[in-house]
Order: sequence, then C-alpha cells, then structure tokens
Amino acid sequence: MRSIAAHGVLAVAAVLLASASFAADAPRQPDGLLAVPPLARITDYADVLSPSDKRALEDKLAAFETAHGSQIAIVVVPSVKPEPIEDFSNRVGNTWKIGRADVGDGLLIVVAVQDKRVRIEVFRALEGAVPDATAKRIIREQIAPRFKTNDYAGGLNAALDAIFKQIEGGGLPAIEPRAPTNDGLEGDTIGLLLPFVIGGIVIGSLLRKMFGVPGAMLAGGGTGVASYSVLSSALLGGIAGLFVFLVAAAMGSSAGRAVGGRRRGGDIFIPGGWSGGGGGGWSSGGDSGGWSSGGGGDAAGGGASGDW
Amino acid sequence: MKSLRLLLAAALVAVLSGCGYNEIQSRDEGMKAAWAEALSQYQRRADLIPNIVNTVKGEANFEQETLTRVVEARARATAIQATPELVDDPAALQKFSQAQGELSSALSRLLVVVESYPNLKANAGFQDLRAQLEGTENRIGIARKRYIDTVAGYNTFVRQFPQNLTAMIFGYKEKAQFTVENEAAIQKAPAVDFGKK
Repeated sequence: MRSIAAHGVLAVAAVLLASASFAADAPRQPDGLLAVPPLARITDYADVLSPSDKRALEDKLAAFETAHGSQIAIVVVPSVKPEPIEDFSNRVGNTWKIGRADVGDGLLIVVAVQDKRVRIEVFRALEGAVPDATAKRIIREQIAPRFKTNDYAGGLNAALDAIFKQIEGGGLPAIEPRAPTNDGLEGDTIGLLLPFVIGGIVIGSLLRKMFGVPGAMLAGGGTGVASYSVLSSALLGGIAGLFVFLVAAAMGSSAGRAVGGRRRGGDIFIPGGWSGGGGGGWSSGGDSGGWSSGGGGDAAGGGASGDW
Repeated sequence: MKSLRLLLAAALVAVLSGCGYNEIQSRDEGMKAAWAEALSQYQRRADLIPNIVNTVKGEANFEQETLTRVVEARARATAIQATPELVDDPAALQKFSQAQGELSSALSRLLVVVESYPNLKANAGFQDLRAQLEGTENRIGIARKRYIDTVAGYNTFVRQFPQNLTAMIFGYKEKAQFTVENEAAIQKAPAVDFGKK
C-alpha cells in the first residue's frame, strides 16, 4: 500500500517537474510513455496551432463528419519519445476507436513536432480509400513541405483536403440518419440466457418440492449467479434469477405431483421472460457540445509515417 | 424417466456453462482470428516482395548480394506451410517465426542499401512500394502483438480452475506463443528506422 502511495507521489512529482521544465508537454504515464489524451477532434499539446486555426480545423472535420460520416482526429504533441510514433498513434487509435460504429471509418493524424515525425493512422475500414502509399504521398507532398516552414495549420489543412478527396471516392456507405435505435436485448444474449433459465426452472421445481420456497430461492439465486458469471451482466443475471425464483415458487404446489409424467415444463412460462429487457445501450450518447466517438474504428496498423 | 433425462440435460448445460466451456470456445475462435490476421499480413508481405525485387533490379548495378538474400529469405519463409494448425505446435511456430524474422532483417538491409541509390530512392514506383512495405511491417507488428495477447489470455484461462478440467476433458491445450528468444531476434531485425533519410 505504502509503496503504491509513494509511487503515486513520485509520479505526481515527476509530472509536476516535467510540466515545469517544458513549456508544453503532453501528459505522460508513470512508465514515461505519453498518456492517451482525452478524445477530441483537435489536440494540440505543442501549441503550434493558433486558436483560430484550431477552430477552423475543428469545423472542417465536423463538417466532413456530418456530410460523410467518417471521424477524423488530429493529435499534435511535442514528442512521442521514447516510443515510435506508430505505437503511440496505434494506442490512441485503439483507445478512441473513432469511426462509425457499423463502419469503423476513422482516421488519425499524429504530429510529433520536436521529433519531426508525422503519421497518418488509417483505420481498417478506410484502408481501401486511403492506401498506405497514398498516405505516404500525402505526407511527402502536402505535409512535409509546409511543416518545414513551420506552417502546421497549412500542412494539416492540405492533408485533410487530400484525405477527404480519397474518402469521398472510397465508396464508403453513405451516412444514415441517426435514429435513436431501441436495441433492447440482443438475440445471442437471449440464446445464452435460455439454458440457465430452463435449467434453473427444472432444478428449481425439484428443489421447491424438496425444500419449499427456500428451495426456489436457492434455484433463483443459483441461476442469477451462474448467468451473471457467464454473461457478466448483473442486470441480466438478476432478471434470470428472479424469473426462475418466481416460476419455481409458483410451480411448487402442482409440480410435486407431476413426476408421474404429466407434461409440466418451465418452457410454457418463458415467453414473458425477456420482455422487460434491460434497455441500456452502450452508445456513448449525449453529445451535448462534446464530440463522441462512434466506437467502430479498429487501428490495425494501416497508414504511413514520415519526416519533414 | 423422461424428467430425469431432462434434468440431466439441464444439469449438463449448467455445468458446461459454469466450467467455462463457452468461454473457451469464444477465446479459441478469437485466437484463431488473431492468428489468421497475422498470417494474412505475412502473406501480404511475401506478395509485395517480387514487385520490390523487380523494381530494384531495374536499377543498374544494384548490389546483387542484398537482393539475393531477400529472395532467398522469402523462399525460406514461404516454404513453411502457414496453416492454422501451427498454433498447436510450438516448434513449428518457432521455425515459422524465425524464417519470417530473417525475411524482416533481409528487407531492412535492402532498404538501407537503397539509401545509396538516389535514382531508386526518387523513383515514384519504388516510393509507393516502400510505403506499402513499411505499412505491412507495421501491420505485422500489430497482428503479432494481438496474437500474443489473445494467446496469453487463452492460456491463462484454460489453466485456471475449473476451466482446466473442462479443457482437459475436451482436449483443449495451451496454444503456442511467440517465444521470448525469437521475439528478441525479431525485435533486432527492424532496428533500422525505415522512415529516416
């Protein structure tokens, strides 16, 4: 415990020191690598973009997303050392997972100003629209000459124009009007839950016969715990457990006499079971002002890096 | 009798789910997918090499030895049948990984040698091929990392109680991992920063 606390203090001290000695540095993890910055269209820890440049780039990216759906972000840091820029941009990409949920069309531009390295990280869904060689050419022809004259906003702007052109010609699915989808429980979740519910009811009815209502409770609790441990959803586990308990408890009086062969299956009762589904979607929702990631992007190493 | 059988079936379902059978299945699939991804990236690199070699050959008096090494390393790497079953055989995986590692180092040497041929360096076709090669190397690195992570997760899972019993009954063994030794060899190979001028 103490060593953790000590480490924490050291880390805080290191961060304070680092931020004191450099005018601008991106936050770093305790292991010295850059921390993944909070999700934003434009992140500029190196202070090379003026507020108006930043706003213009942000608007440009927002307009493109509205028109075509693809999510693009720019991260500018002083240095990514000791990590290669590829590793850092991959970490950021796979933490943010930008790109529409069902398409995955994200793209990330990472600039390390002091290292004079830039990377265009193309997420998997865009690898066809922006092949590695094209990304490299954009770096060589649009970015490098402008960055050489410290025209960072101009370089990024030109790069975005070229990337937009590629994506527009890339045959991606058109943007769909984002209707609030009502995805209650999904089919495979029910499929996974079903064995527990059936098994729970069968065992529960026997336990109910042997021990009375506590037996049904036991079965319900067991079902709940079992489904929770497999599906790791407390809500689903709770629903399944409660359902099994109620059915087993209700069955008790008659089920005792049913052993002789009268058909008496829990399955008759099931249809009511999942109607009350848990609703809660995973979408990051509420984009009040802020920007939310579509969550579909997979940064699998596509794109290109270059110097200037 | 009938209800007894039903009970047994239900108990079996409960026991299998509780002992991680389903989880083993999904992790096994995830691991196969990660391996398939790594294989397809290795294949992509192997497919790129003939183009690169031909472009480089076009350069008059290009150092033959470097070129031959790449061609030979590619031949050795592609001679090993890269099948999904490789993950069950640590020795075969090691050999595969070794051969691919040698190809990596032959390729990076080629890119270093290219530096002294300005015409080639400025050749647009070669620049594109080089960008593709760099991208593929990067993808291989990520695919390998993902494979290593999924295998580590899978191996840990099947070794834990009670899944170890389930795994034993159904014959699920630990999967072969890229080992530390050849990891070191691979790490050494792309020591050259492709992007540097």
